[in-house]
Amino acid sequence: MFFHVEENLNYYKSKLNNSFDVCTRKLKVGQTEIGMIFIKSMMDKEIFVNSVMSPLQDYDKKEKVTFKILENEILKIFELERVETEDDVITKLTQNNLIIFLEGEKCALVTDMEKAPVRTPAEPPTSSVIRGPREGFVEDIKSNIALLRLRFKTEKLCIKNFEVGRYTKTKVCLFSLKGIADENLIKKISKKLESIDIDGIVDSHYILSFLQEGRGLLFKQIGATEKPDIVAAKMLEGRIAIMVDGSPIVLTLPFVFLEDLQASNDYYSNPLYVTFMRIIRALGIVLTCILPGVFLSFRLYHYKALPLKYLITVANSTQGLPFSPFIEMVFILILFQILYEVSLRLPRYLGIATSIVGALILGDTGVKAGLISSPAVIIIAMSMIAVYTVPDQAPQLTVLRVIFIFLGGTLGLLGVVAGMIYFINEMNALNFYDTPYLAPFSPKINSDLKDALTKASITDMCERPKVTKTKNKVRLSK
Amino acid sequence: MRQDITARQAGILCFLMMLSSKILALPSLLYKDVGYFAMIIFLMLLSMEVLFLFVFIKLKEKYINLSFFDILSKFLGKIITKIIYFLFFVYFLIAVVHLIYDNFIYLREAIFENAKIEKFLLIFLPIICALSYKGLNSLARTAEFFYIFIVFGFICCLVLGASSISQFTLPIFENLSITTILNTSFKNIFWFGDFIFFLMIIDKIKVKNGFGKTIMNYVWLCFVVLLIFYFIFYQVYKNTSFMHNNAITDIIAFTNQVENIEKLNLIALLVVMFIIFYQGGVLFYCLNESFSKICTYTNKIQNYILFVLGTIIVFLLFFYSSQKIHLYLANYGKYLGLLIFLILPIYLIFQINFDKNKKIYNKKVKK
Repeated sequence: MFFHVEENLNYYKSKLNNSFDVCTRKLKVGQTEIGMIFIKSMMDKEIFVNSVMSPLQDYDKKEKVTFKILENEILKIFELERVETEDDVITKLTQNNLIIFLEGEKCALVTDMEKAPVRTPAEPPTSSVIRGPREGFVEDIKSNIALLRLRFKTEKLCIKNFEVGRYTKTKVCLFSLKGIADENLIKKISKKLESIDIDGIVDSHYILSFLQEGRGLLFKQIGATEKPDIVAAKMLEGRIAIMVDGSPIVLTLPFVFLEDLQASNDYYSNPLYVTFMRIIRALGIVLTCILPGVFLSFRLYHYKALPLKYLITVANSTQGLPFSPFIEMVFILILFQILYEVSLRLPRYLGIATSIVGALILGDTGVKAGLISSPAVIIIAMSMIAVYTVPDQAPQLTVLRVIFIFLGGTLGLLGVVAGMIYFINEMNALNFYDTPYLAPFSPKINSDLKDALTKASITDMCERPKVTKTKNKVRLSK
Repeated sequence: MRQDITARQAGILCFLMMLSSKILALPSLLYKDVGYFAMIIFLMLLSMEVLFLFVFIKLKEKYINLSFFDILSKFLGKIITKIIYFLFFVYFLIAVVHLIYDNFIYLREAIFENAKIEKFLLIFLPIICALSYKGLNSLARTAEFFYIFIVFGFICCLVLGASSISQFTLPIFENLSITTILNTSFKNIFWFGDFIFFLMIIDKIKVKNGFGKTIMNYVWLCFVVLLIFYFIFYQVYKNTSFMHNNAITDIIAFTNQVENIEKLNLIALLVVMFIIFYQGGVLFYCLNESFSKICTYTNKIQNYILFVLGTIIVFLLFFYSSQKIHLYLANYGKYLGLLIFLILPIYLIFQINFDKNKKIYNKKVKK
C-alpha cells in the first residue's frame, strides 16, 4: 500500500490487469484528496451515487478529512471496514467492494457495493408442489440466506462462512441450529471445507465430492434441494445445510436413502394419502430397477413359470423377432436413453417434436416392422416412467436398471435376486457420517418409522429422528 | 466400521438360519425313516436345538464381552480351543458345500432346467463372499431388511398349503423301537446345528436388558411356524410325503389357482432364493471367523486372501467331487454334528454352572 492516492489507484488497477470494467475516481473533499476504485459491472450505481458520491461532493468544510470523519460524518453507509494489507484490498475488490483511499494514509476503507444479476425466487422445476411454499433458492447466496433467515427467527441459527477456491474465492456457508445439530458433525464438516484446496468452485456439486466418505460412489451420500422449506425442515430434524454462492442447490447432511422417498408435498397433505403415495414410490423404485431384468429372465430362462395366459400373449407378440430378447431389451433401453438425453438438451419446442418422433414413430414402427416386441417396449417404458416417482434417485436407479438387465439376461431370476441382496447389503454397509444409510428400516428405529414408508400426523411425531443423533430430542411438547 | 449387532438383528439371524435348513429336504427324509413319527423326532430335535441356543445366550450373559474363543481357551487352553475351532471350520465348510449342493438340485428341479453347476457357482460364490466380506453388521442389517418379506412369503406358502388340504387326518404312529428313533435322530442331527453360528458372533451382540428374551422371541416364532409347516406338509402329502424333497415348493403345488394368478410356487422359490444367499453369507462369515482364530491373522489383506482362497477351495471341492462329498457328508457328517451340536453344548452347560467367578468378564475386553 502507498501513501499517495494516485499510486494506489494505478497499482491496484494494474493488479487487476487494467481490465476495462475496473474504474478509478479521484476527487477532493475538504483539503484531502480521495481515490476510489471499483468494478463497475458489479456495482450498484444507485447506492454508489446516493451514499458515496453525493455526500462526498456535498461536503463543504474546509478541513482535512480522515477515515474517522468519512465513517462518522460523510458516508451514508452502515457497513464499513478498514483494510491494511495488499491481499485484503485485492480480495475485497474482486468481491465487488468499493475501495476508498485517502491521501497520506496507508490503509483503505471498503464497503460492499455489489449488485450481481439476481433471479427472483421462483418455484424450482425439480420439485414443484401442489400445496405448500413455492419459493426456491436462487444463485445469489445473500438472497438464499435471507430465504432461510425468514424461516428461523431465532438466535440459535448459526452460519459459518468459508471461502473456497483459489481463483473463484466462492463463499460457502454452513447452516446449523445450535443445540439441535450434532456439534461433532459440524466440526467434521468445517474441517473438510477448510481443507479443500481447489482452483475453483462453480456449483455446490463441486463441494459434494469433497464431503463424500468412503467408496460407495454408486449411492448418493448427501441430500440436495432447491427449496428453503425443505432445508428448514431438515435442519429442524438435526441436519446441517451447506450453501454455495452461485448455486441454487443446497446440500444437507447426514443423508439417508429414505429422504428421497419423502417429498415436500407429503408434509402438506393428508397422512393416509401420503402413506399410499410413499408405498407407490417404493414400488416405483422396485419397478425401475428390477422390472426389465425380471421380465428378461422370465422370457429367457423361466418362461414355464409364467402363467399360461400371459405366456401365450408374450409368445404371440415376440414371435419372429430377429434379435434375442437380451439384445432387444438393450436396444430399446439405449433408444429410450438417447431420446431422454436429446429431449433434455434440445430447446423445449424441439424436444416435444423429438419425443413424438422417438416414442410414436420409432417405437410404433419398430413394433409393426417386427424389429422389437410390444411387451419389451411396455416394460422399458414402465421402468423409465417409474424412475420419476423418486426423481432425486434417478441417476442411481438408471445405473441399477442396466445392471439388473444384465443380471437377468445372463443369470436369470437367481441373478436378479443375487443382485438385490448384494446391493441392499452394500447399502447396509454404508455409514456416512455415522448414519446407517437404510435407517430406519435396517437397522430398525421404531420411532423414526412414523415418518418413513408410512406417515403419521405431525402431532404424533413428538421426537426428532434418532438417526440424526441430535441431543435435543423433543420436538413437540405435549 | 462398527460391528455390533442388536438383539433384534441377532434374533432375525437365528430365525433365518433355523428356518432355511429345514424347509426343503428334511421333512421327506424324516418321513422316509419313521413315517408320521417324523413330527415327534422333529419336535424333539428342534427343542434340543432351541435349548442349546438358550445355553449359548446364558453363556453370553455370563461372559458379556468375551468371544467364544476366549471363553473356551480360558478353560480348555489355547491348543484344544484351536482344535475345536478347526472342527468349526470344517463344519462351516461342509455346511456351505451342503447348502450349494442341495439348493442347486432344488433350483434345477424347480426353475432352472439344464442349469449347470458352474453357472450356479458363478452367481452364488461371489455373492456370499461379498456378503461375508462386508461384515456382520451389514449382514445383520440386510437380514433385518428382507426379514419381513421372507416371513410374509413363508406365511403365504403356509396359508396356501393349508387351503389345499381336503381332509385333515390324525397321524398314525407306527410302533417304532427306541433304537430306530435314536438312529434316525442321530442320522439327521446335521440338520439341527444351525445355532452354532451364534457362537461365532457371540461377542458382537449388543447387550441390553432383555436381549436374550428378544432373541428367544424370534426363535420361538420360527419354532411355531416350522411345526405348522411340517404339520401342513404331512397333511398335504400324507403317505407320499417321502417322495417330495422340495417341501416348501411342493406344499403349494395343489394351490395353483387363485383367481387369475397362477404358478404360486414362485413365492416359495423367491423365499428359498433369498434365504440361501443369506445363509451362505452367514456361513461364509463364520468360516472366516473360525479360520481367523486358528491362524490369528489381523490384517485386512490377509483377510481378503483368505476369502479368495476359501472361495477357490470350496469351488474346487465342489466342482470335482460334489457327489462324493455329499455321500461322505451323509455317512460321516453326523459324527461331526454329534460332537459340535451335542457334546459341546452339554459341556457349556456344565461350564456355566460350575464357573462361579464372573466378576472379571463383564469388563470391556480390549483387543
